[in-house]
Amino acid sequence: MPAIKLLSDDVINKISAGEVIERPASVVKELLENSLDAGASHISVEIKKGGTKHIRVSDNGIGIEEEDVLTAMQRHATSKITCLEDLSKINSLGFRGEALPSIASVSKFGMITRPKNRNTGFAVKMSGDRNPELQKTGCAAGTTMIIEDLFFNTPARLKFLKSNATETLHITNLVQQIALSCPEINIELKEDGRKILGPLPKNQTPLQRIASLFGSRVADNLVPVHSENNFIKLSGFITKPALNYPNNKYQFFFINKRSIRSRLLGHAVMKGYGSLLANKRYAGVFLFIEIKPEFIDVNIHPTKREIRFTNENAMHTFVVETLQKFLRQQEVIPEIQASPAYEKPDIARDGRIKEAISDYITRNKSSYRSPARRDLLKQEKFDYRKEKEEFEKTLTDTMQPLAQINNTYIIAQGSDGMFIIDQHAAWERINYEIFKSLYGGNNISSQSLLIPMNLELPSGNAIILKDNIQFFSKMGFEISEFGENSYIINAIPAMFGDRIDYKQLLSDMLDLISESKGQVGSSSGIDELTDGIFKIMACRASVKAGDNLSREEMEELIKGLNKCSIPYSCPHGRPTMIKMSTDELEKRFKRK
Amino acid sequence: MKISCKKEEFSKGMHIVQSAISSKSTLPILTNIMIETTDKEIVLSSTNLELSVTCVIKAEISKPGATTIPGRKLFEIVRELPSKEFDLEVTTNNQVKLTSKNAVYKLVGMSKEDFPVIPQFSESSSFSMKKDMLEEMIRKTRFSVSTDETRYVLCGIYMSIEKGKIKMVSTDGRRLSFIQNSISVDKKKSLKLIIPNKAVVELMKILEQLGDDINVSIDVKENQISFKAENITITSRLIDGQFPNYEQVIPKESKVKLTLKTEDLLRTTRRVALMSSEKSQSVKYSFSKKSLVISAKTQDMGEAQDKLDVSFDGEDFEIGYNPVFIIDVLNNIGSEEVTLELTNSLNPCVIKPSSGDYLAVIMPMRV
Ligand SMILES: Nc1ncnc2c1ncn2[C@@H]1O[C@H](COP(=O)(O)OP(=O)(O)OP(=O)(O)O)[C@@H](O)[C@H]1O
Ligand SMILES: [Mg+2]
Repeated sequence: MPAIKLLSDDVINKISAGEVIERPASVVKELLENSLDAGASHISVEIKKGGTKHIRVSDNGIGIEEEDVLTAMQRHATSKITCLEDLSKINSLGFRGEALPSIASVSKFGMITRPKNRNTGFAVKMSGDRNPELQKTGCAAGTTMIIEDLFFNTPARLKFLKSNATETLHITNLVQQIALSCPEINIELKEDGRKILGPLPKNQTPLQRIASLFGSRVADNLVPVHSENNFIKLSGFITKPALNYPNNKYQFFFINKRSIRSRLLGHAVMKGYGSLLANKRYAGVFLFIEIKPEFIDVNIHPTKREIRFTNENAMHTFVVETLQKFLRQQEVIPEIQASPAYEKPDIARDGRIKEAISDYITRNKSSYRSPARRDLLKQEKFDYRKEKEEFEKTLTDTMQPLAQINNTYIIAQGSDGMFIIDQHAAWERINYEIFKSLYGGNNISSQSLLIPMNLELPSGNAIILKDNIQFFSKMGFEISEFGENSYIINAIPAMFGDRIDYKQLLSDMLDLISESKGQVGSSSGIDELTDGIFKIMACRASVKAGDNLSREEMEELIKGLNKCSIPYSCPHGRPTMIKMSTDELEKRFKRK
Repeated sequence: MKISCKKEEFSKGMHIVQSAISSKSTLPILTNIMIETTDKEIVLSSTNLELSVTCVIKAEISKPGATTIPGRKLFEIVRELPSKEFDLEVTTNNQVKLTSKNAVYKLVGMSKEDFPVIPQFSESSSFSMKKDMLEEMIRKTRFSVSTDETRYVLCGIYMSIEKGKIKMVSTDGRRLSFIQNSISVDKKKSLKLIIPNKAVVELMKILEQLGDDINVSIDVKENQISFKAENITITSRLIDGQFPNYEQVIPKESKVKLTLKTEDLLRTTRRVALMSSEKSQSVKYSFSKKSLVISAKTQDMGEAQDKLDVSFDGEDFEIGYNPVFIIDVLNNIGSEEVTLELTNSLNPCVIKPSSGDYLAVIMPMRV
């Protein structure tokens, strides 16, 4: 008997199913994508026992014609692409013609479908390896898929599943992603007759959908972002830095409506926020990217959850810059909001959502108006500068320091309400940006000392100092060895003036370098370690909480903030200011 | 205690002693001033433990005694009194009654016993100098006092008396100023001490209010110094520590010597310094044949340049300074011409007036 045989279709299907259908949520995903591809505006998902017992997805999409019904169940049968060329410009969520046969091979599968303009529909039944049975039936227009006893014939897979509750959670997350990607459709999820999600009304705006799914706390703290060029359009919402999370669970990326995971985009988000966020904190983002299909490859992962960009660098920069541009705007300052205790939360919330929506719509309108693509490219650069200028003007022109509280916070009046500034955090931000730019331009000047300072170092730090003497010299320190572990500081950076304990600063810097076991400043740019050193310098050089500030000093601080590219948070990611809008004040005092 | 005083004189005295009153203090008594009677006078005193000020004024004493009264309040009250004189009486429990014409004030004082003891000096060990000279010496050195608390010995003016000479020196580690004068003291008298900057500030405020031809007598005891001028005495704690060996860092020789009009150098430096930034303050002085070009440049802001004709004849060189250091010296030097003594761009520069035993040393910046 020959050893190598062709596999039967059934075996091939099962192997393929193993790749595509990992768990109930994978079934739901494939079925929902089919419904979306079929142009459905109403989809309902019902599951039992975490989807292991029963999954039913019904839609009001185009349905399947009689002659196609059985073909749809065959491997590599698809209505979505016809030739190899199509593969490079996929516009639908499905394209392999694998999902249905894969699902059917590991479950008891049923389908009822009727195109709108036909009088009769068809029902198909299939179970494991048995051939499909086709039957005429009366039914609503659209398609309903019913999957029972998933993995009944592949016990190994069944064993691999987690608890029903976990499987339900996976399905819920999945439906959530789909709901986000298509805010225009009505979608719902039920388990054992109980509502889990939705029904979400159809034709919601993206922001309304986010609010329906995640509540007003999230929706009220979002910054709308929008940017496009010839090849990519990016729009969506990102959380103000004050609203952040311990993991990236609230980061949603959609490429051409397909929900994807992407390390690249996750990294771009991190970089876009930069020091606005503390270490190991994550922003929430809802980013919708439209990109010409020829610039991406979706066919690299069996469940299509990952994609590849043709030009990853361009994509990365595009996202980073878009985020930075919008984060620089005023809205990212956390707002003090009316405490809901004595207010009907729903009314307030609806009002706020409405406001945010109309805001979003006007914003989007204005950015959509740009017609010619070449113009668009040009205009974007121009807009950017203009926006920054305008923003600078608003802050400088309007912020007036009024008083200092506890020698720690500054109350200032702005054009639209009141600001409370943390004086230390604000100075840290100002100094951090100044030092970084001086260092970058090789402009740190150094003041020679008439009376040098002695510096005693533990031997570990002494070695680090010797290894990095070049770097310290670029920072403005001129240090020479005097004896064992004993050094003399002959020159100090000029930018700190008398405000700072230089020995303490040096030993902090050395400690940091030794912790990270690094050579500092070896690369030409500003690496993480150098950045860490700037943070230390900024912290040491800054006015402390508890320092009494004169009016002039407060004004200087606000002027300094205005020059910062990211004035809203200190280099460690804590906010530098919070805002209470005039509107909010009026609400609090019941004038509104 | 019962006294009557002239409003104006009392006000003046209060104004003087105000400087040592704490506005907020963990020790409430320090916000009070003490009033004590002597034969025909009263002594007003205030202290913040570091620094004390007393002022003696005339008064009619009907009943001797002492008390302490909230200082700022009393100052405000006396200023508003309706007549030129007033009476002040202290009854039991430091209840203070102040009357002037029909106006009557009642204040709650605190016992004299709770007031810190202000160190007393025996006149015998004191020496004296002209107020003008003291004022000038302080003015020409105070600007280079350090504010860096980690080098606390530099946070004051060093004063020494030796061989009939008085010297004052201050340095913040980057620059130094030095002045010396002869005074009439016992040639064997020798003193070395550091006067804290806070005391210097208060002393100057008071000296500025006094007439020109006054003698100030200075006395030192343990870690305290006192300055007495007319009816006013300021007493301060001294900085405890060793002032660095300043003589060592004053350059003894130089390669280049230039004489310039103080005003020219000052104005040009000021003009150009407008284009140096606060964080990277430096102004470049470029010497070449017969000319000194002064320039500054700041990233993202711009640059400035100006030129002075000088009698320079050596090899070209340039040197950077914090313009504030130069301006401070020129503002205080009080001489129409100054001499710059330089060696190269790494060594300190010495600025001297055309006459007088004064000099300032400034370390350059690396730019
Ligand atoms: N809900 C639906 N409504 C209308 N047509 C459907 C629906 N589900 C499936 N079809 C049809 O059945 C075909 C096969 O579906 P299947 O999911 O197996 O493949 P696909 O979507 O084309 O590709 P992929 O394997 O990538 O999902 C589709 O091409 C489509 O024509
Ligand atoms: Mg499909």
